[in-house]
Amino acid sequence: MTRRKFLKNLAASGFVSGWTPELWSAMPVRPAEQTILLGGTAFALGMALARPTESLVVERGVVLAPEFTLTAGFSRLGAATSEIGRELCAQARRCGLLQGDRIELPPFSDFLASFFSLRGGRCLLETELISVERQNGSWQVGLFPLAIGGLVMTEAADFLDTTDLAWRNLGLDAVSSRHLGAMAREGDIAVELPAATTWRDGRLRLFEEAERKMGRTIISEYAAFKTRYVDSKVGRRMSAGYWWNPSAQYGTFMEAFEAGYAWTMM
Amino acid sequence: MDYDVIVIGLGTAGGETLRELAGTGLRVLGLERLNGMGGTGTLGCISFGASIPARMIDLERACKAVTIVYEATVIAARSIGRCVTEVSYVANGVRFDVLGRIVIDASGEATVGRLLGLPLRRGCSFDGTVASGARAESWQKSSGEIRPIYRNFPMPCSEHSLEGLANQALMWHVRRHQGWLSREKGSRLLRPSLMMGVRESARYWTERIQDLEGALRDVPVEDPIIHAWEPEDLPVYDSAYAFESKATQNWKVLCGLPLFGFPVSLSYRTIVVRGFDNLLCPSRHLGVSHDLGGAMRMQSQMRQSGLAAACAAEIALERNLPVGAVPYAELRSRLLSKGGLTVARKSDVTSCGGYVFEPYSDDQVIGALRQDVVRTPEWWYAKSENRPCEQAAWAYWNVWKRKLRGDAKGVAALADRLQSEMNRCDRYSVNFAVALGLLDDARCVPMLRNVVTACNSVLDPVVERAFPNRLKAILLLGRFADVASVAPLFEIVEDDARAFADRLLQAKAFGSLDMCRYQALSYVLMALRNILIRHPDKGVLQALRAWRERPILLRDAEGYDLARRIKRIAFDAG
Repeated sequence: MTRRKFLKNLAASGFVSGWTPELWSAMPVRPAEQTILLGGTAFALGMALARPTESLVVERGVVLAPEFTLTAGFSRLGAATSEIGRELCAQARRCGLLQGDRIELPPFSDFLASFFSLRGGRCLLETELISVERQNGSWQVGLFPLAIGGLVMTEAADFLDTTDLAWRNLGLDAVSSRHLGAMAREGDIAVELPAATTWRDGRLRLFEEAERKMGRTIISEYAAFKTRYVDSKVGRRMSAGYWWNPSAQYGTFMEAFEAGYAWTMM
Repeated sequence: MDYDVIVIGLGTAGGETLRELAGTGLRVLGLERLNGMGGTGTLGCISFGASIPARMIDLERACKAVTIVYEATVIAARSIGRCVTEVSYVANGVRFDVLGRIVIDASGEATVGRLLGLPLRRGCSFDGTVASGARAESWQKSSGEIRPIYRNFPMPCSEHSLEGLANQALMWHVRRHQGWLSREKGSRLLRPSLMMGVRESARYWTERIQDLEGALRDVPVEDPIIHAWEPEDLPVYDSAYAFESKATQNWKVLCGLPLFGFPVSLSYRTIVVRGFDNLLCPSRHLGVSHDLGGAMRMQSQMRQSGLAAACAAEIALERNLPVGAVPYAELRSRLLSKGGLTVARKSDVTSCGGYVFEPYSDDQVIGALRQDVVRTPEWWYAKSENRPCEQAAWAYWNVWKRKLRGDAKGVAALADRLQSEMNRCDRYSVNFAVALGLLDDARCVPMLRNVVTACNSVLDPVVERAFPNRLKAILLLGRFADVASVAPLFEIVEDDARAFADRLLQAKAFGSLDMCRYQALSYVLMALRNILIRHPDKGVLQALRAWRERPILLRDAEGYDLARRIKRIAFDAG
């Protein structure tokens, strides 16, 4: 996409000023060569940091690596194998977030935002993916950044979906179960839910379980589902230049991050 | 699909709207971008002591009868004539187009208005910034208390959205966490907020816009739906608020009542979007000006606005009326039957500690101003009577209130007495000059000029915490467009307010040298702007532009670039 076309699209959205100069200057010279990574997941962050100028992470929320940071209070971070992974661990330790191999997840999400942006990673937060279409050998991607409040079209050579169920739930058949957890005074609790469960049903089940077991003493409900997969079905090539590889399939944050860092498009 | 009511945004206001509509038998659709209800009060982590999950589940259980779509982003809206006819949203990549007879936009960011391309009021009135925040929820292990931690900071509207805002906000968040973690070992962070805390990003033009001056003037509201309490929770040290309006300057700076509150009633017409027959806008984007925004920041007021929207929609549908034509008497009785319109406190003005001031006579005003007008941190929160500083603030308020009430004869008599007291030229003269300034009486100008040019003289003694008078003097000189003040004011700018801020610190001003310089520069630049608009001076303008290009290091305690902020406000705004 040419710079002119890009601006024209923005103008059509009616809110040109919403696009910051900083972001514009960070655009790759040829957007058609970029990879769009759907989901600000650990896997996507790792991959984007391996090729910062060629990758654009699109996340619909404001929290990075939600598949880990919003599913538990503490967790094992996992082993770093790359240079950048080791640097991430060292910095997290310096910030007091990492004790032994246990990471305190809620602040870790924000630590990641800082770590990622300072290393040139590009991420659009609060951005909804509207469309992905193959045209003339590349992907035409429609995005709806919330505060711009308009459609922005961009282009990508490759599209990698790292979300739990894939865009439009295309990966639902690979999910064996989902779990919703909460921190209660008496310790963490979790309920197992069907793959296609909704937030409303999941939350209701969780509360019923909490009330049944220990009375109503939930302190904080975790804000993301934990997903389990059927190993043989998870991760796949949807079509030419379009993959789905959910970050939630990995056991720890660092495992997902390192897998993303080492990922190569085939 | 066809619905009677579409509610966009199921936060504090929208959640209440939906809960109310759930029992009516109407076909209702609720659209929410996050994965639960309650907005700022739940997923936004502003909750003091209450169980957030319990609140969410209570709302969901109460709304069983209506359709709720979570993780839905509204991407388009269409209108024909005076009606919004269709709303489109995307949920997990699938687009849905829905029709609604009434649309209630409770998103807080004028989502429908933006999508329809309506003119909106954006950001702060003076520089277009939004007050963004980074928040998280914490848990005290020892007490079992859940409480929010947050940090607000201003960002330009144009940066609201993309990584510019988000990452900066999150970086603040990290800093906050780091400090917090090291201070409070016995506590634990539960989770970060799932939404950006953004205030004032976009507001509707509604059938009525209420402002601070109107509220203080007691302009009648015949059709109230919300009895709010203006808590004025803006940062006391941030002098930028003085740019908001003359009423803000008088209230916060000249009277010195930044943390004092007063009751405000908001009209039904503040939630009826101008030019539309079926669009209501409860939540923070309703029809209040930025300087009265504090009245709509609290959850109880948000809930009242949501309830009013639900009741109005019900009546409009029952009677087949445009929302603007809903009979107020019926709306009022319905609100009362549902626990709405809770009565505000009847006091005129009260401090945070709950102390209510009584009106002063002229003699009491003079007596109160014949004391050192000082400001201490304790004063703002203390519940005590007869402190000189409180008496002075109340005296100023009395003076201004008389003008607001249009008591011309009483004002003239009081002004003469104030002037004669001022002319005694003693240490209290500047107090009387400021009071005259509140009455827009230009006889105070020479005295104020003396305060700015001759600090530490008999007119401006070094009294602890007496620093506000110097800032007040600058503000008033700008308001009176005093040409003779240009040179001394420009000297302060040229010096980047170093010497001036030093003198403020000698008078025991709060905060660091940088914060004092920020305050001084804010007022001086504002004053110069006001003077130069009326008396243009090319030489000074050129010198100011040159100064603008000069880098200045000015940061607050958390590293926020104050110089950038003040330059943007002074040179780019308005």
